[in-house]
Amino acid sequence: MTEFVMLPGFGGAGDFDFVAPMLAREHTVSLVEATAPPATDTDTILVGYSLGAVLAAVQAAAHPVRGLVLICGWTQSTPRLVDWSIHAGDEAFARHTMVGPASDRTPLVRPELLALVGSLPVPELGAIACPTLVIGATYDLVATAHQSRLLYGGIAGSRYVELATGHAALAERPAEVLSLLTAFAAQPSVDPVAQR
Amino acid sequence: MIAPPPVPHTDIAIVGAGFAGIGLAVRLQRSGRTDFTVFERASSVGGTWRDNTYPGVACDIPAHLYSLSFATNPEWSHVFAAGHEIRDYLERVTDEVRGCVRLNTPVLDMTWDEHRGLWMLTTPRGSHTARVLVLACGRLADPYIPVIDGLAGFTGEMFHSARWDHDVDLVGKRVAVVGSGASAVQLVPRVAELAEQVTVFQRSAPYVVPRADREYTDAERGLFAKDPQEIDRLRSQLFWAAEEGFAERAGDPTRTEAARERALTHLAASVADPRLRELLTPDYEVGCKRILISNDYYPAFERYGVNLVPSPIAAVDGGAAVGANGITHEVDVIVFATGFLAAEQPYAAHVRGRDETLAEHWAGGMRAYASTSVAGFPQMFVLDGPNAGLGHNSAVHMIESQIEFVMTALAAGRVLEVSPAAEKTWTERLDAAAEGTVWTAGGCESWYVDPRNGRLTLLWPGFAHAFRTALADATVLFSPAAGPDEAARVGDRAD
Repeated sequence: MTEFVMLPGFGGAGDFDFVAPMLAREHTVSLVEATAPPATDTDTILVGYSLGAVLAAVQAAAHPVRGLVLICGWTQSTPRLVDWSIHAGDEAFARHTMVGPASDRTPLVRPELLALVGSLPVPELGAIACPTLVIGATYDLVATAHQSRLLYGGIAGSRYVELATGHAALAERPAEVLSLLTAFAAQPSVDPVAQR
Repeated sequence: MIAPPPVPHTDIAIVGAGFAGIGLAVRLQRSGRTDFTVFERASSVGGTWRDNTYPGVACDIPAHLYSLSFATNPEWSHVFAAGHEIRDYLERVTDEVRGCVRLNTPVLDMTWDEHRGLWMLTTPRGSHTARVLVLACGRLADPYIPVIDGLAGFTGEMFHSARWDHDVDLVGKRVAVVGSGASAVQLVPRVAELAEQVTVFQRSAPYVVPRADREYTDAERGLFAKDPQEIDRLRSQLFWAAEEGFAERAGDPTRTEAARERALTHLAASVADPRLRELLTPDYEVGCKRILISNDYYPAFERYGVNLVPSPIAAVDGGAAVGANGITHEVDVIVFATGFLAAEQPYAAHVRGRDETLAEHWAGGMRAYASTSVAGFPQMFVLDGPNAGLGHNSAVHMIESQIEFVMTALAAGRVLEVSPAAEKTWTERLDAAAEGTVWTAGGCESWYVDPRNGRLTLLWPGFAHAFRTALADATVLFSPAAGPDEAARVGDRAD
């Protein structure tokens, strides 16, 4: 039984509304809103999505954890991303830019969380020592897959896998994310691509 | 004195030419093996999709997902394929291995010869020996017809939905349909278009959700043909979307509630008559039985001449079917949409391992290591066997997981056998996982559960991707590094 701590993105706790209860069938799961610092220890698998991935990386750099999973995160808020966050209060704009071309899903966006983008801390990637799984998304127009690949490049013990989704990976492919988290918890150092 | 002709030998004998048998044969051939034989009792391949030709027969899993990953098909006409389209597809897949398929060849007896380390197969066309036996006999292959008082004396025509009698013209007839499961939901609307009167005998009402079907455009099919990766992308999307359906059945009350609401809203939108709606409302938890998809089942009951009897047929009296309430219904034809022998597979009685038949081994319910290997039955694999069924995703994906298990085991090239301890540990783990789930505690009677003991023996109580991972992990038993006691050791470790 693994202890998961999950940091959601712009949708708040609702981002994990599939993954969290399914993980909780066999593990302990706690959800931490982006506004509070997570309580972690060396047994924790820390999972961050979107802006939660940035905060998770910051946390893991300062406080060692057992494993780290960064979903559609970024190394630092780019001007493009800040610009997006200013416009994403428009629901239709957010929806169309967050999902991939094949999806009919509607991601959650809480406007007050968008405002955090411009003031996020920058994680010190070189200080992250635990096994890390970086999950990027091919059609991510918001954070971009390139940013996920930079996280992969900057974290020494990291693996990279890419989903065929937009930024809203958890709305589009929650079961696929679940399968990656389950496999990571079982063997944090196994390459998820090789395993497939 | 003339010596008897030698008994023909095949390295791998596969019994059954449906998705599982043909799929394995193609994988074997492509891996460079040529010494295998597929035995098929019928006169053509296709399994379920050969047997079921009733009006309206179709698959309720999207076609691109309900096909083999290594033999995809750009030509699927609709999101959901009709039965004949799937059968044609399997015929085309079979072309690759047709020379190895023996049609009209039922295997009457399969016995392990301990002395020679071979399986002996008896067919009406002679005997065969095989090093490895693969049972790919299906799980919904032998029709089940309930015992009904007076049925033998019925004066009209009767047949099972999977043995449809196309010589019987239903136009203007009074037809009784017994059952309201997956087959009935598809055939009732079609029969209602032909018959003068249709009486559906419903033991318990199913949950029915909308069927989001549509035709693929020429452009889409053209793209699938030109760029096979487009099919892979679609398959991946369909697979992971289907996986979400498992949450409705296990552990997430919000999603269970949403699934129930989706079905009941569909019912309310389709049926105006409150009394009829009440009869069509299930009395068990959603997911306990297969959730069905249809846009025309509910509306069929609003047609003149279509009646719903909320009970099984209690008796048949000459030309009349009698409901549990004693009301008689004069009918010309009885269609049994009553499902299949699932919990007790008929083939099991014809397989004899070291000490017992497979039916004897499974007297307490089907069991196997990794759903595929059975203790006391060396060099034998069961496809579509214990706990390999699924309610929320593609059965073909499950079959492929087992095919890969078999391929890995065969590649190990050693005597393949599991210990009773490994089988027991695996079974106990599954029994524990099934406890308290909607299938065992959902308040319904379904074919997923063995009625002899209440064990969930037909269904895998988890995600489809978890089945694949579990089986991949389970092949460690057959790895060259594993010692003779490995089976027990792996079994102990599995929990």
